[in-house]
This record gives sequence, C-alpha cells and structure tokens, in this order.
Amino acid sequence: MTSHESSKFIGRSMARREDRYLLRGQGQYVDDIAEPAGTLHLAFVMSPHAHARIVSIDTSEALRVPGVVAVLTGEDFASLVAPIRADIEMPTYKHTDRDVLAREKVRFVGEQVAVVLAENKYAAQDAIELVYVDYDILPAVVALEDARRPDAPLVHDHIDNNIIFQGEFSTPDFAEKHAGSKFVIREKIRHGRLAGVPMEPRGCLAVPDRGDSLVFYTATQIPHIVRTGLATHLGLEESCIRVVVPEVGGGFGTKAQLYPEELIAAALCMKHRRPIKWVQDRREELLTNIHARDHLYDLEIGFDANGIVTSLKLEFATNAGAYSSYPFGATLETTGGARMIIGPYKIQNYAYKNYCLTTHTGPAGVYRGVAQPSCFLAIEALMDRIGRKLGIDPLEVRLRNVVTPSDMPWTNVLGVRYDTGDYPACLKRAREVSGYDNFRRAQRADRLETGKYRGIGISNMTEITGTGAPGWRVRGLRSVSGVDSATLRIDPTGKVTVYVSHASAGQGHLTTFAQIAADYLGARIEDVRVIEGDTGSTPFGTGTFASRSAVTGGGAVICAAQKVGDKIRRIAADMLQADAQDISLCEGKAVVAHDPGRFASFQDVAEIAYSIGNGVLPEGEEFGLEASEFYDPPVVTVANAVHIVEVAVDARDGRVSIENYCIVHDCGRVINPMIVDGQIHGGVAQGIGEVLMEEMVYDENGQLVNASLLDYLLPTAMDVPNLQIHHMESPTIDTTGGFKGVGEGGVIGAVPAVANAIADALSGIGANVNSVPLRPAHLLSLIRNAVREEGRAAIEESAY
Amino acid sequence: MDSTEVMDVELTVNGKRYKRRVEPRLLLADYLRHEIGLKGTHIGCAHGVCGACTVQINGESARSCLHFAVDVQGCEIRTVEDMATPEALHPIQQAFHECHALQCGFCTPGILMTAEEFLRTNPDPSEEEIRTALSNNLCRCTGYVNIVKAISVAATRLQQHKN
Amino acid sequence: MELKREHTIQADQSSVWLALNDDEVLKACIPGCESIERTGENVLRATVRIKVGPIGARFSGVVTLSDIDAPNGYRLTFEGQGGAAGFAKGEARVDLRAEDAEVTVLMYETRAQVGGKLAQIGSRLIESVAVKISGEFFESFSKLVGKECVSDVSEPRAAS
Repeated sequence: MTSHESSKFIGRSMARREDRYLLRGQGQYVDDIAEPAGTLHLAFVMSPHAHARIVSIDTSEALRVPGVVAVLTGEDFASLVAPIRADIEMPTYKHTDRDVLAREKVRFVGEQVAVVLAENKYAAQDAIELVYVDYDILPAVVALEDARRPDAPLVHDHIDNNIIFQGEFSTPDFAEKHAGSKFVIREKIRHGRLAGVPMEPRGCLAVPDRGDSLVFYTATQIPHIVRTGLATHLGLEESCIRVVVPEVGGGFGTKAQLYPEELIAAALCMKHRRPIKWVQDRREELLTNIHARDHLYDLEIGFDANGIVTSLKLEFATNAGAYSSYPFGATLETTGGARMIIGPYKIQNYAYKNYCLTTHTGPAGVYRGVAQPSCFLAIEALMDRIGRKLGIDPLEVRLRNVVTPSDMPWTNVLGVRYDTGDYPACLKRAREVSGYDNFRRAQRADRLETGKYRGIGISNMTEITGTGAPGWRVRGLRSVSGVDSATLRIDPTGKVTVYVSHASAGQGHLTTFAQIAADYLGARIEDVRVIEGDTGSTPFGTGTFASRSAVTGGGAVICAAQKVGDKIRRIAADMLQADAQDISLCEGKAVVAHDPGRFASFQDVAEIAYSIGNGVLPEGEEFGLEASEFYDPPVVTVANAVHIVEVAVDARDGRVSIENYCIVHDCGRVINPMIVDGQIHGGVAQGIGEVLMEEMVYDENGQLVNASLLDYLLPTAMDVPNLQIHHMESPTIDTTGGFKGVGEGGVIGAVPAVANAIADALSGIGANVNSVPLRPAHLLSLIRNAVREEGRAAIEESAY
Repeated sequence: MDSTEVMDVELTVNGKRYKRRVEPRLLLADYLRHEIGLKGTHIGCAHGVCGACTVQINGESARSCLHFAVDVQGCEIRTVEDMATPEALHPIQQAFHECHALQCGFCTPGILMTAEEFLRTNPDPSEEEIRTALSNNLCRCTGYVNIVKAISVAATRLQQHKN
Repeated sequence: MELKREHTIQADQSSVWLALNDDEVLKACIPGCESIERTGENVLRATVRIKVGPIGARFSGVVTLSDIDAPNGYRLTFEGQGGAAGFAKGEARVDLRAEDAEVTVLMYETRAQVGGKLAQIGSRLIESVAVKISGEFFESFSKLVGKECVSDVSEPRAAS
C-alpha cells in the first residue's frame, strides 16, 4: 500500500488486542512478575528534611530484624554507581550530580539515604523504621519566588543564585516595537506544582542472567535510554543488559526518567548475583517521582485597537527542584514554555528571559504536556484579556491573530516550523459545535444565574509532536537520540512480527502499530503481532513520551513494511512469472494485479526466502524476509486543537462544575479514532484536575504536606463530563505516514480552556483569575473580595 | 505480638478454599496476589483511596488493601479472575472492550469488581448513578468517559439477557 | 501550626506555677507520656506516645525552658523525634495571670512544625490533634491542681 486512500485498517476504530488479557486480570505489571527464588526486596529510608547534612546513620537495630540481609548507605554505592548526571549541552547550564543514595547532604524531603535488603517486603518495611539518621538541619529554600534571593541558601554550592540555566531571546528592535504598542496588558500567571500520579507506582526487578548478564524488568517508557543509563552509570557493557518492560500502569512522563532506585537495584543484582526487587508505595511515589509545572509567567502583551497582538514580552521561571533528572535534565519546561507560548499566533515581536531554578523540593521532570499546558494557560488568558479590554469577543480576537493555511508552512520568530493545520477552520468549527454564540448571546453581564457564575472558555493550542533528533539537539539534549525503529520480520509460516522501539503504557501500541503494518504490507491484521519494550529483541529507539510514537514508530514501521513488501513482490514476481510492479499485496497474498487467480501467499514467499522446500531464490536476492528501519522525523510536526468549555462556579461554596465540553482536534492522519479519543479523554481529565484540584504543596520548611491520595486530589468520574470530540485531519507533509502525535493534546487544550471559563464566569464581578489550581476556597475568596453586601444579596436571590 | 508470628488463614476465593500460613498483618491483597497467585488485584495506594485493589467480600465490593487476610476468614472472596470463563468475557468486560474503557488496565480489575456489584444491585442505572458509583475508583488514563459508557451498555445487555 | 489558648484553673497562681514545674504532675497530665527526666536545670527529656490519624509513634523529645519569670510564665522550646513517623518541633510561651486569689488564667501560644511522614500524610490532622492533646492536658492539669486547691479550702495549705 502506498497511498492513504486505500487504507483498510488505518482510520478504523479497531478494538484492542491488549484488552483480552488486561480485562481478565492477566496483565503482568512489574509487581506481578514471578519472583525467582532468593529474591531480595528493597525498601528505602527517606530524608524527612528538605536540607540537612547527614551526620551519622545507625543501621544496627535494622540489621537485627529477622529476614534483613543488609542495610546500605551512600558510601556503599560510591564505588558501584556513578552519580546521576544528565547529558545536557546548553550555554549557562549548570549540571547537578546526584548520588543514588545521599552521601553528605540531603536536598529534598524524600531523598533516599539508606536502603534495606530483606527476604520479604514486610521485613524490609519493618527495618527502614529502625534506621536512625542523625541530621544537622540546614535552612532550605522552597518557593520558586525565593530561589534567586541574595540570602537564599544554595541548593548546590556551584550553582550561583540557584540558577541552573538562564536564557534570553529577542526579535530585532523589540524594545522599540513594544514601546510602540498601542495597548499593553501586564499580568503574572502562576501555575502550581503537580505530580503525574499514574495508578501504578514505579518498580523494578533485576535478575541475573547467563554469565555476567542482567535482565532488568522495569516500569519505564524509555527502555533503551535505561539500558544505556545503566551501562554508563554502573560501568557495564550494554550487551550484558537486557531491559524488559512489562505491562506499565500509566506513565505520562513520570516513568520517562532513569531513577536512583533502578540503578541501585541493578547494581546490587550485579554485585551479589541475586534477584533484587523493588516496588514503591504511593507515599514514595508522590514524594520521589518527578514533579512538574511550578511555573511563573511574568507577561506583557502589546496589541492594537483591533486586538492584533503587536508584541509579547515574557519573563519565565520554572522550579526544577533539587536535582536535574535523567535524561532530560532540568530545562525542558524552561525552554518549552518560552518557545511554545507563541502557539498558533502570528506574533512578530517577541522577547523572553527564562530561568530554570533549583530549590529544596522534589526533582521536576517531564509530565504530560511539559510546559505547554502552562504556556497556553498564559497566552490564552492574555487573549481573553485583550477581548475584555477592547470589547471584542475573545474567539474573534483569536481568529484575527492566528496563522492561516495560506501562511503554511509557517516558521515563527523562534524558528519553530508549523507544517500543516487550519487554525481558523478549527476555531470556527468549535464555535459552531459548542453553541458558543448562543451562550454569549444569553450570557448576563454579571454572569450570575441560579446562584452560579457561568462562563465559557476557549483554548486554541498547538502541540509540538513527533520530536526527532534535531528537535532534541535544539533543546540541548545530547543523549536523547530522537530516532526510533522497527524490525518487521515474516517468519517461515508467513506470519508477521513487528518489533518496535517504543514502550506503551496504555496507548494501545500492540493494536495501532499492527494496523499500520498490516496496511502498508498488505497483510491480514490477525497475522501481525507487535512486540515492544524488550531491548533483547526490539531495535534501538528513544521511547514513548512527548506525543511521538505515532510519528516516529509509525514512520519506522511504514519504512520497514515497504522494504519487506518490495522484497515480497520481487520474489513473488519471480515465482509467478510476472513483473514486480504488477504485483499487489493484500490479505497476506502477493497477487498479480490483472490476474488475481495467480498469487503466492506470504508463507509461500517466506519458504523461498528461508530456503524451505524446493523453491529457489531469484538471482541477486538474499535470504531472509525482514527489514530494520530507523526513522528520524526531519522536523517536529505540529498538531492543534480548540477546546470550548462551559462552567458554573457556585457563588456560595466556590465549587466548579463543567456543564459542556467541546473539542475540535487535528492530529493529522488518524490511525485508530477510538484510541485517539481515549487519549484526548484522559488528557482532558488530567487538565481538569490540573485546574480544579491538583497541587503538590510544600510548606515553608520544604515539607511535602500532601503525600497521599487523601490530600492530593485526583479527578473522579464525577468530575469529568462527557466530551464532544470532532476531528479534523491535516496530514503532515513532513513525516512518513502523515501522522501527528496526540498523547498530550488533551491536557494542553484543557488547562487553558477550563481556566478561561472560570475567569470568564467571574469576569462579571471583576475578579482576576491568574493562577491554577483554582480550588473552591480560592474562588470563594475571589468572589467575596469582589462582591460587596448588595452583591451577596443578589447571589442568594438568584439561587432560588 | 511478635510481628513474625504466623498463623493459618483459610479463605474461600473464587469458589475454592485455600489455607496458608501467614503473618496476621498480611493484607488481603497480598494474600491474594502472593499466597494464591491471583495477581489481577492491584495495589495502587495501600490506603484505600484509589480502588485498584477492589475485590468482593460476600458479594460486596471492598478494598483488599484495607483488610487483613485473617479478618476475612470464613468469607467468600471474589476477584476479577472469576468474571470471565475460559471461552468468553463477562458481559461487563466485553462492553469495556468494545467501548475502549481501559488503557493501561491497572485500575480496571477494581473498576470491574465495583461495576459488577453495582449492576447487580442497580440493573437500570442513570448516567449520574453510574458516575456516583464509580466515584471511589480512580483512573488516570481514560477520563472515565468510556467507562461510564461501557457500564451503560453492559447494563442494557444484562437486562436483555435476563428477558 | 499555631495555637493560642487560654484556660482557667481553680487554683492560686503560685500553686499553678509550682505544678507547671513539677515533673510528676506533667508526667501524669501529658496524654501518652511514658517518662519525663530532668537532664539539666531547665531541660527535660520526655517520651510520649502520640497518634495522628493512622500514624502512631513514640516521640522522644527535649524540652528546654527559658525566659523563666516565676511565677508568671516561661518560654519553652521542644523538639521531638518520632523515628520513622517524623519529627515535631516548636516553641510555646506560657503566661499566668491571677484572676483572683483562687483562680488563675493560663495563656499559651504555640508555634509548631512537623516533618516527615507526619507532615506528609497527617498534615490536615495536626491542628486538631494538637488541640485535642492540649485540651486533655489542661483538663487533667486543672483537675489535679484544682483538686489540691479545693481540698485546701477547708484546710490551710502547708507552706511548701
């Protein structure tokens, strides 16, 4: 198959193969893997202080717990594991070295200082309570706003002013152009800290294998990066390490890091040649898995009387926590927010300064959206403010500022290339399907109706997807490769196996990659099996995050399928005495196009290719029926969406309900609409959580005060409404297959839309909404500060 | 009591009787997963909030991370493994499959156990009732939209099957 | 966490002051107190069992008295280690005021911070637990000191 029009499987909502065993409870997650005899369990002692010197560690009582084999501290690992350091090449970037177990100092609450090895996990948990650590407590800097103060304690001695990285950019003559803007709105937008909270906590099982090798089971999104990371930090050869990814219970980026516990488990396994298992509990998950967001946007937007943006100025700070994580370092959000904020708009005069700061809090990393939800929160809030200031409808403001199809491909002032997409059509379609105009017509000036403030919010977002090597280099990431690959192999019985370098955590790759392979190869889909997440059999790749698997994995599968398909045609042509270009592949058969009675099955061809039976390979052809293809998308491809959300804010208790939610989404060519919608649903739910309830809270001493699901609130079935999703397809001209990514689009669109809806709801009383999360107490105080006595009476009246 | 003291704990799980020598503090979830090898029940939080560990005790959904195995001696425990037959999925599971009501699958067994009890006691629920019934099961992947739909579809089919 | 409270005790100020500095009285009145030991002139070592929601722990702590202004008040700082449960530290200002000859008002103001597991999963309970513990303390304390006073109404107190 070579054209998009003749897809049999791509574009179909095929039910997933993964479901068969997941529904029966037969999915094998890392904690489910049968433990080999002699497995030792790990449990960690965590620091209760945000910043302290370790004076001494007394492990004697812990060692006496029955079943405990050893209790180790940082010194024990000094010769086993190199400190974790992300490989970042960026001017001004200051690296951090993180010991896998803290040695002299702890730098955040939850940092591990000792590890217990025991015969069972209950004994390990008993023992960690009996490890006594003597700390010399030091003052801590916790809040992003305090990191750069001259008197702030330094998190790392070599990182002045706690600035890991700073950058700046300016279009020519910016100051002049900005000064010349007719109107300027200034605003600070604060985005609270979040956690990803997949339902499955992290864990790993390291098992010694033949000779000196290691099989490392780990719940990860990045198997090859883990393999390389283990090799370089433990001084091993990659060839003796096999990373196997079991079923993963959600990642969202939290499992796209190499963590200290993984290095410790692998190191102990190699040293003692015993299986080592570790699974974290939820409190550890919330304390030690990467956090995200914790951003401050200090903005000035200049515009003219028609609402056209004439200049944008940004000072952007991110709180990266105590250490850079591996492999992405600390700055993806810092550079991402500053670079993506222009979004779908034609903003020609732009200047930013960005700062990546370190504080005595949990290390930050890549969580779904990676700065895009917060930078769109910011720019979309400004678009609404422009509308309010000028009395122009905010959707109209956006229409006046977006890049149009005739501008495409469009390169913005930062050099980010927007390949395809129809932003005006997307806005108009969303306006239509959501009933936006009717809502506005009926909307009261004070927004108050039956005791609730009602508002409608828009987000108009673009999402960078399918980032390959060039995209990662530009962001300073030297060792995040960017390529992915697929090996497509037909076995002697004619069945197809596709090994892909990705690692699904719920995205349904075993189904979607099979759809692609079956279409491009002309195979029957039931004859195609996809295998992922095993560095012993899957070829090298970058992994699954940043909305890239459809693009990079899809591209690689297509290339491999085309190569194998070509070979099938050549061998079949020889068998059938026809021309290769007259052979078409479908339903697992190579058929002579004008004479379908003449065909060879894939099995017939495979037998020739493997020298089974009496067939002979055509002249010049080699044995085998497989191809391995690497794919590096030449540029990033840009997906887009518009979300329109109606909310009602209860004037008496500040609670928000979502009354209507419409989405128009364009992720290019859709492989499996049902799975795409599922990704959007999940992303929107996370976005709703991000705006209404989620926040990791550190007190002024750096204590995390909500490390349980009782206090870190996640959206439930009562918080996420039904979503109306409409699709547009602007296939990308730049990538093989025409796919764009979609994994993060839901959350990127949801955060600004829900926040804007609440802002709109409260705009009638003049309340300024400029931060998330927007919990009931906060909204109630905004309402109370804005509304005087008469207003309160009006609320009560309208409620009845 | 010495924490390493052990005792015999007998449970009936999915219709079969098991007797294992375990510590009194062994969680029901761990008894199911490690003593019997039924790993479909997952531990998501160990403090009773997420619902991934939901099983049925004497027909009622319950958090297996909040019970000690010893506390439920003599009870009938049912887990997700009891829902399907070797030949076919349970109608609720089938509806989940058709409606794409699971992604990573980690929360799914707990949700299935909750849904099965709910539809048994409330065979013709409104959407709001379904959402309320699900409100104690967290899912981070699906946004619940398809789960609600699947339970609605399953309700209709179970009703039809009865009639 | 900040707590500011007042309690009225049916006893004269000097009796209340003496009782406040009496280790045996404190041990009897502090809920969950297992031991109190004076390790220095104004330094006490105590172990107390506390439960905050699901977390129960034995805290070993040091209480240091300062700014002692007998019989009107003192300042105390405390620091308690609860092992794996975490730690608590803070300070309090305790002041006495004679309402009349037989009635004393005890005012205290406490600022405390908790850390470790206690903070991570018990934060929202800390204040209510602190209120409960101090409530129980003052109830016991009032009964103990007040009782002495009540029984002294009929008999003049021996000078101590």
